[in-house]
Amino acid sequence: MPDLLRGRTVLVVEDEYYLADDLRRGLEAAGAVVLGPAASLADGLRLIGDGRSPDLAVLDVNLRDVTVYELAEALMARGIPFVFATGYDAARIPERFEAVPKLLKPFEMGALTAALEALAARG
Amino acid sequence: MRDEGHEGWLGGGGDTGARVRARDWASTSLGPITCWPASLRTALTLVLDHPLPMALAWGPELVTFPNDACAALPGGPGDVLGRPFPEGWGAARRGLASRIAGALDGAAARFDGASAGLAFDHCLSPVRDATGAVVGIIDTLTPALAPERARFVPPGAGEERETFLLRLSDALRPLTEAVEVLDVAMRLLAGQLDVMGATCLEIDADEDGFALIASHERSPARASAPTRLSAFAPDMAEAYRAGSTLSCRDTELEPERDAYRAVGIRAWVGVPLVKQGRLLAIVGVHSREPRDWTREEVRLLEDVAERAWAAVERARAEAALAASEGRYRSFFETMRQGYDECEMIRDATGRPVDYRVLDVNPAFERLLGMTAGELRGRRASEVMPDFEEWWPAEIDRILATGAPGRVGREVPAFDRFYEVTIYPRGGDRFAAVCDDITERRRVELVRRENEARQVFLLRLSDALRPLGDPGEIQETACRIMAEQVGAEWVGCAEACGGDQTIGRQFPAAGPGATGGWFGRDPFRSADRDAGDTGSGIAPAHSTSDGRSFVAVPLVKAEDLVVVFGARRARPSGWTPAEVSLIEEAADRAWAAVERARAEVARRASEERYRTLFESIDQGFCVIEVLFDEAGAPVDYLFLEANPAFESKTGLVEAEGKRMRALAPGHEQFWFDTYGRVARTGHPERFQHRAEALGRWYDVYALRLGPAEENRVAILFDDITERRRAETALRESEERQAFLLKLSDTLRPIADPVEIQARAMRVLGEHLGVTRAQYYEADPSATYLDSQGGYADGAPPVVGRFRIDDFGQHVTEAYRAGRTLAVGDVTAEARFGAEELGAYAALGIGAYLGVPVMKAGRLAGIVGLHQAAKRDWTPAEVALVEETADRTWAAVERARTEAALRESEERFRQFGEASRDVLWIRDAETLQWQYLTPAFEEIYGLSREEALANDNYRSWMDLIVPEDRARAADSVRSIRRGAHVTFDYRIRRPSDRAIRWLRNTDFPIADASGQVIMVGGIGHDLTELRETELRLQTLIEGMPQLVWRAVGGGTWTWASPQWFEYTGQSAAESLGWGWLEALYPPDRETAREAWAHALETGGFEVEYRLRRGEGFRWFKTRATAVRDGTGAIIEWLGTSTDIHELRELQERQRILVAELQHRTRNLMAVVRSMADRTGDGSQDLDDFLQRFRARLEALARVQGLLSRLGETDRVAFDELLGTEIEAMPGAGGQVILEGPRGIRLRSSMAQMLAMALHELATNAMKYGALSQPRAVLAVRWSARRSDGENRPWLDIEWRESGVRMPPADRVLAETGQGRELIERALPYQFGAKTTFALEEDGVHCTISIPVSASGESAAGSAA
Repeated sequence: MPDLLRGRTVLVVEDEYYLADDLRRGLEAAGAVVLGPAASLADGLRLIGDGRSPDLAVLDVNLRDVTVYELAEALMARGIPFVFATGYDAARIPERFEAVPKLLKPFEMGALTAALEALAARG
Repeated sequence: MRDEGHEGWLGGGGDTGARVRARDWASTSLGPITCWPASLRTALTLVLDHPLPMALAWGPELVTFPNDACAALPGGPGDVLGRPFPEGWGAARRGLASRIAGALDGAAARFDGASAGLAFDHCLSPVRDATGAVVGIIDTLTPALAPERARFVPPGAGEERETFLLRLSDALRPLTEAVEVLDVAMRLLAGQLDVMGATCLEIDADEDGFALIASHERSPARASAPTRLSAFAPDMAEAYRAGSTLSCRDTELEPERDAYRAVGIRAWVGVPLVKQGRLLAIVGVHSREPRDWTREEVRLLEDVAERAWAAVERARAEAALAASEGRYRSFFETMRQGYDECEMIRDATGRPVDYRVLDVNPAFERLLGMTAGELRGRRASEVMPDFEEWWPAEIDRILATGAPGRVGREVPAFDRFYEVTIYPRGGDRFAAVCDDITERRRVELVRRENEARQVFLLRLSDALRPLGDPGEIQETACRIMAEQVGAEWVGCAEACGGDQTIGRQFPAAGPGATGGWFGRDPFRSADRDAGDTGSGIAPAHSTSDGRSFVAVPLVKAEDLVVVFGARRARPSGWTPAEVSLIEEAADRAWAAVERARAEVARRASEERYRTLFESIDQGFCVIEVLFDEAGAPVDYLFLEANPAFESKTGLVEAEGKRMRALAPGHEQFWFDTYGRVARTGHPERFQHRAEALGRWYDVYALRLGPAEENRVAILFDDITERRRAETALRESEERQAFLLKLSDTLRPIADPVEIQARAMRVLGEHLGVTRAQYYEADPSATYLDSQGGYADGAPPVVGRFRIDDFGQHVTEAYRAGRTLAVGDVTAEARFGAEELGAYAALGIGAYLGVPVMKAGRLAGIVGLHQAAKRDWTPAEVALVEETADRTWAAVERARTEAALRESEERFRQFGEASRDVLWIRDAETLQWQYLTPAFEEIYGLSREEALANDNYRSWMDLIVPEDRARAADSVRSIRRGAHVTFDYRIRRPSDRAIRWLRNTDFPIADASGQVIMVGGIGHDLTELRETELRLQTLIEGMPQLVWRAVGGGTWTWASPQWFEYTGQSAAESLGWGWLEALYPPDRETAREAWAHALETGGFEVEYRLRRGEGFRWFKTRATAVRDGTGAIIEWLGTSTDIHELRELQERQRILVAELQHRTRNLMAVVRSMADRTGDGSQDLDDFLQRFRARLEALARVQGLLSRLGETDRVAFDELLGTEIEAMPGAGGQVILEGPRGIRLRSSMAQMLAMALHELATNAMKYGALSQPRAVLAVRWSARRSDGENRPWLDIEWRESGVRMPPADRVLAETGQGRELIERALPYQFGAKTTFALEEDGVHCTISIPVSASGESAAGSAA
């Protein structure tokens, strides 16, 4: 549903600049407030560590050297829904994140917003 | 020719003598006259000188020498000199001839010439030579008396009686033969009385039988006459015996007329001759016609009979006398004593002084060595060499007695002795018989000597006999001997044993008793001479004091026993007679000594025997057997009995009693036996029952003492018990013999039915039953099958029967194993009528049923039937029981054997067919006894060759040396009872190939558990082994690690590769030990896999195995090995080294992921780039141109990134170089300085490449690359910043000498690039960048951290 994202804070963790930028512009176009984007896990953790809790998140699975799963678990622990974005096979994502929606790069902006809206709707 | 010389002997002889002398006799059978023998000469001179007419017929041809008187006889023979007698004797010849034989036989014969009508009677007498053989005949002629009467006068009937009698007498007188007498008498009688026949019967001694000894028949035809008076006419016999004359006028009037008719007699007279009360003969006459016999006739007959008989007797006497005379004559000639006829010569006073020899016999001739001729007429004093004067006187003395007498003294002559007997002949004539008694005298002397010796020896014997002590005997003997020979000392020395030591010496009585052997060694002296004859006579030793000594050894069986010595106090030697005497005496004395010693010993022995006698356990007694008059033994008397006798016989105090009194019922056998032993002296051993004593004895009986005493010693044992046992044993032995026979009969038979039949036959025949049947019970013991049986005289019982049908009591008994013996079915109370009927129908009078029980149940029955009643003895029952048992056993055996044979056959076929070799060895010798054909295939050797010689050794030789010890050890342990399987190699003889064999061997023991054989199966493993070997090689060769496990993962085997890889030993790896080799984190994985293995039937799992400090990845696959039923036997697994593979795979995965990522990323980048380009482009062409350029830059970097070998890295210098080169028509100077090989990751490379592209594009458009005088210098370097792991790449892009375009245009142009450099790079990579538009060009710096050396996400490099 449109406008589900309006005013929502969406954390974006994506090490790829252009894609991260695209995500920002897309989400802002959807009315969301983007937290980040962070290019590394460390940056991402820092972003949510300062007491800020986004409403939603988009996490790129493979960051520069590490996977994003630590952050994902932190979000899960906080109950913040998120989606994964990955360039690799979805099967490589551990089972504990089976319920997490996964978007395969490259994906349409529309797909992302839809997924986020779905999450927001549940929420 | 006149023979000169020696015919002086034929001095006289008259004319004939002269003629004899004148004749040449050399060519006749008599030979030359000078060689005529003495007997011829004597006889001839006798005949020739004789006054009576005589003729000598000499020699085999009977050469006749008639003397003068004979030659001158009127009616004589004429000149017959030299002719063979009786040739030329005319009418007398025949009669003479017929008598010659008799004369030559030695019997003088008379020939009555008168009866032949001759003028002379002849008397022929034999002449003998010195040997006594008749060599000639002297015929003495005497005128026939009453010549006129000598003529044969036919009898005239009616001649006067006296005349007749006289004639008869005359006729008979000269006859010498009895037969002749009677013949003549009968003839004359018959003629005189004119009867048909006259006979004379001589009556036998029994006065009954008679024989016709003479008869005269006118008509001689006559039938055979009876020979017994009693037969002929018994009453006549009586009368005859009484001496009565009997006559018969007409036999027809007699009762025996038929008999007379038979012999042709009509009338007869018989006169008996009875002398001394005995009927000697009957003289009779008989006539054909009836005749009245006159008294005169009868008297005449009686007279004739008397005279005839007298003549017969006289003739017989004379014949006897003639014979005797003949004998005496020849005796004269042949007597060995000298005989001479002599005449006494007296002197004037009539005193006898000499005698003349008148005649001598040949013996006398020999005696004197002179011929009779030389001696005749000579005086004894002249011819007798030793004539002694007393002879005539002595002879005269005897003559005076008129009776023969012996000369009182022996007459020595010619060194011999004679005994002379004088026979007076009347007057001064006498005959002397001289007996050479020289030998006799000597013998007499010896006899006398012997007599003296005998007397002495007798005295010695008598003296010694009563002595019992050997010493006393010796002493006495020596004393007596000394007395006899006049010795002063007689001693004896006994040789004791081998060395001859002096024994006892016994001095004789008398002076000189001292001195003994005079220091001589008696044995030495005796020995020396003993060597000659054994009865050595020592030379008489003269001692210094004139004593003679002799030693007489006694040698028995070549051993010197004792020496007797004698010493006499006179120097003369010992005569042989004396020495011989001593010898004999010594012999007897010593014999007596030895006898005494033996007696002593015997007494001692007897003592021992007596003790034995008293104490032996056997009965012993001495009996005297008593015989009756006929010599049959009837009883015996006990003389002695030992104590055991009483206990063994039960006869008390038997000594002195008779057996018949003690035991009246004793069998005659005993008496007969003992009598025989007593008679024959042969000992007998026997066993016999003594009924009267109720016992059996084993007896040894032998005769004691001399036969006459009839003593028998009996040694005996009471064997009653033994006999009983023996009877039982014999019965048992008989049974054993029967069973043996049964066994032998059955053994060769293989067919069970035949066994039954034969066994029953043997049993049936042995016991003589009607039927013998074998019944076999079925396993449930309900039915009995009878197939084999024996029947004699009754139909056999064959078929199947129900046991219960036999009757309840029978069935019960049999099932309980009890034998039923019924001797008489009719006597059995429990048999009902029906049963009896059944028995009768089958012809059974008695039966015996023996059940055979095996393991408590009835297996069979042997039934015997007897048609008649029969008492089955215990022995018979036992026999049948044993037979039943054995028959059953034999049947079983036959069946078992049949089965065994079958099984053997199967086995044999199996053995033959099996491809494995089956063999059997003897456990002891280890030699093969049985090999199946497969052997030849496997060993490549024929069985014959294999079995030859020591085949164990040859087998060992086939085995390769390395395996021999193992094979031998294995065989040895099998011998000890182990079952062993062992492998070994042989070199096959046929092709020298090595073959692997596996032997599965086992011991074969006998019933006692002793290993007697070793059996085995040999399997050729070679193929399998080779396969295994290949497999092994394979396994060992292949890289995989192979293992086998059972259960849930316990390993049973691991391949060498495992050991080699893991370094584990076999022991360490087995079981669960293999887990240790695993990289610890993976052990759980492995365990898990095993845990589920059973469900899955196999698994595949990857785990790491340790290797040194590290590990490698292995993929392990396990599969279950199943048997036929699907059960898992074991697990077979392989572990393959997948480490490289895994790495590869990992790399590949990463690569793929990268690729994926990159591709996705690339698309995102391209889209993003497109968007931005679109934003910065004025129109589509512009867009296209820009977009295309950017896309190409992207493609270039992708090209670099996707080069093989550099999967996601590219060096900066390459990146830069490529980008710069890609600028078309780049003018100006380009300086690129910096290290090569600084690697960049793909994403970084990509972005950096894009950044470079932007810079380069800008430089192309309006920057350094577009202006020739401008310079582009790109300098870069790697830098390690302090405190950081990663190095930094510092890049400086300095364009210089560039106429700058207006600033707004530059900004617009560089927007994309500036974003990339100023924002994206720092964002994505943490780079620090600067971008500045300098007066003469762009100046950009990028410092970007690069990764250490490009790692992948996991794993350490190998």
